[in-house]
Amino acid sequence: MTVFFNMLSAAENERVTRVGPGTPAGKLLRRYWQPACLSSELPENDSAPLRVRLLGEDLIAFRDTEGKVGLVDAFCPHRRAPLFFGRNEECGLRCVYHGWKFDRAGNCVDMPSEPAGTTLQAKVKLLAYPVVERGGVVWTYMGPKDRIPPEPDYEWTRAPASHRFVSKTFENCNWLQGLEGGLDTTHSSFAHNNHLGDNSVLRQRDKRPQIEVERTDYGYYYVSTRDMGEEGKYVRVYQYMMPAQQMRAATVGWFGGKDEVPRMDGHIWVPIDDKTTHVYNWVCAYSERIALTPERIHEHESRFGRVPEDLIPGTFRLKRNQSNDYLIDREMQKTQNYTGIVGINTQDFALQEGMGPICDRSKEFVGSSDKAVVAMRRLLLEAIDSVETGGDPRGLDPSSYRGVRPHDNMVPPGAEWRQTFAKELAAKW
Amino acid sequence: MERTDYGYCYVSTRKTDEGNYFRVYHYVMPAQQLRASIIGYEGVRNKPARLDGHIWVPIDDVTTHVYNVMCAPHPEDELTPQAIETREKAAGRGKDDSIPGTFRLKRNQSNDYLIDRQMQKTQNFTGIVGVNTQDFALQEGMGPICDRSKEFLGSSDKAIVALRRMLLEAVSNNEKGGTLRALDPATYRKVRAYDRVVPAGQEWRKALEKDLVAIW
Repeated sequence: MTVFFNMLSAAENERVTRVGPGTPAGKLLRRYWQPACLSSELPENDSAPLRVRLLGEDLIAFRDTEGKVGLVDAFCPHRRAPLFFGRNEECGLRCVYHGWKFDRAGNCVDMPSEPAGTTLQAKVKLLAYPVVERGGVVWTYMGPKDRIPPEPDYEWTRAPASHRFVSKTFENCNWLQGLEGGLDTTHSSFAHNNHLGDNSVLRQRDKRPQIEVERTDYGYYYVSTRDMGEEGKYVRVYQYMMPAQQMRAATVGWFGGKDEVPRMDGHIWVPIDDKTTHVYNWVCAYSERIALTPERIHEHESRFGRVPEDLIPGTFRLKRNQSNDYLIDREMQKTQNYTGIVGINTQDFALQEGMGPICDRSKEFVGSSDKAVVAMRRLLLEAIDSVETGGDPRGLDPSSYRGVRPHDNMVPPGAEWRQTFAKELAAKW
Repeated sequence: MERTDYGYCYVSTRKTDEGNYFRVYHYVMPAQQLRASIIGYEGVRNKPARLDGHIWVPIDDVTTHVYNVMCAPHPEDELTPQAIETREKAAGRGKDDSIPGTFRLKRNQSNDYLIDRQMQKTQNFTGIVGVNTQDFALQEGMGPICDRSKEFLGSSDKAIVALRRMLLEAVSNNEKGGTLRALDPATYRKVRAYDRVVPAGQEWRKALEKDLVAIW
């Protein structure tokens, strides 16, 4: 086996991971709508302001009296007092230091500490980013005003609430480590082997999937093919939507056959800053026929390790975390699963966070199973170059991705996945 | 605002039905504030009336000890232990408000000063209990060292701007081996703060002339 791809240089690694204002990857990520928080974190009109740290910027989100969300600088422009303690009232956020009040567009609408008719009020602006709510997520755009893309329109955001669910988890490492794990089907034959010794699991029957990557206008899709002998092939088509979203399908169960709750799953890795990430985990019913009931959602989220009981109360942090080695159980690791860790995405966190805050990719040895990971890095680095020279990256225009969905299924012997899947890769919501 | 040999004196004027409510503050260099609380928030004379102040003493660049001074302005305003505790409690630093064995407040940055959003809607502006705890929320919330290059200052910030100017001038002076304000106690030892409502038309300097002289 030859090594097909070069690892990244230390300079490229810096270029593709750092997200603060003015950084190369930071500029790229700011060209897209990014999740800022869950809609449910701002439960009511005039409810408590919410701290949001995004791409290294400290912000405050608030749902105003009209139910619309504002996302603004965390500090009052007057003397930089924290707006977190502000009063969310009468369509604006009022700083409690001197009473200055701002609407969700960042206009100063009241300046009660200054003489009436002051000209200062018209001059002072609070930094405010545009916001849109879609699919239970509050999205924001933090890039140049004249380059704002149309609002996000991923298929799952159009599914009704009865058929769609989004959760959020905190991950203690750089966003790219998470995204890489999401575009690496091969690791699921190992890290997510939760049935040691049971060789009927599809992903155990072939641990060396063949991987093909096909670039598209939104990023790429990649196809993994596992040889199932006389039954044919187990084929999974993943979507990578730039800059940091993965979509995969689960219509086939872990042991083959139809999954009881056919669905599409995905993640978006959203940098809090260079070294921490919020992962948005969405689930969407594959068709109208089988809805996502609370029981089904609980079962699904539990398997992935993030039902409310798995979280430290009042946070998006897992109880099984880096500080306690994810409660690894070495006996369980000998007899039950590959990692000794409970929860599919908890297993991922152990591996991804364990690489350190920003993985040093100059020390890697990548192989053919890393094809999709390497292709994603190439796309990101190309897009970074393109943005720097004034161009547009892939995946800005919803028409490039709105009709796209992932799929997985068995392909009978002799058949070609492209034919078998022909009708399945088009969005139905 | 008036510069003095010890720093400056500044007067805030608020119009009320009974006349002008004057508050005379002093800034004694480098980091002491003197203010008076003769009149309470409700407009009647405090019992006891007080002279209050703080000295902000750097522990290092990013932490501070605040010394909170309280002094009776007149012999009849005795500061009994009970009066002191009432006052300290209102400021947010009564006997039960600190983490035992420390000078740290239980209501602190790590718990968002136990802000109560319902209280904020119905009872007070911040939803935080304790006058100086409210200050800590705002000041600590700016971050360890506030980035003043991003400010927009208004006319209400006059005294702040003046203070910064004086400090910067003094820093320069000191670098050049010059002398500083408020080194000589003669400049500040007879000075006190005061607050009072004065009938409209009267000038504060005249009306408060006797009040502004130290008696201790």
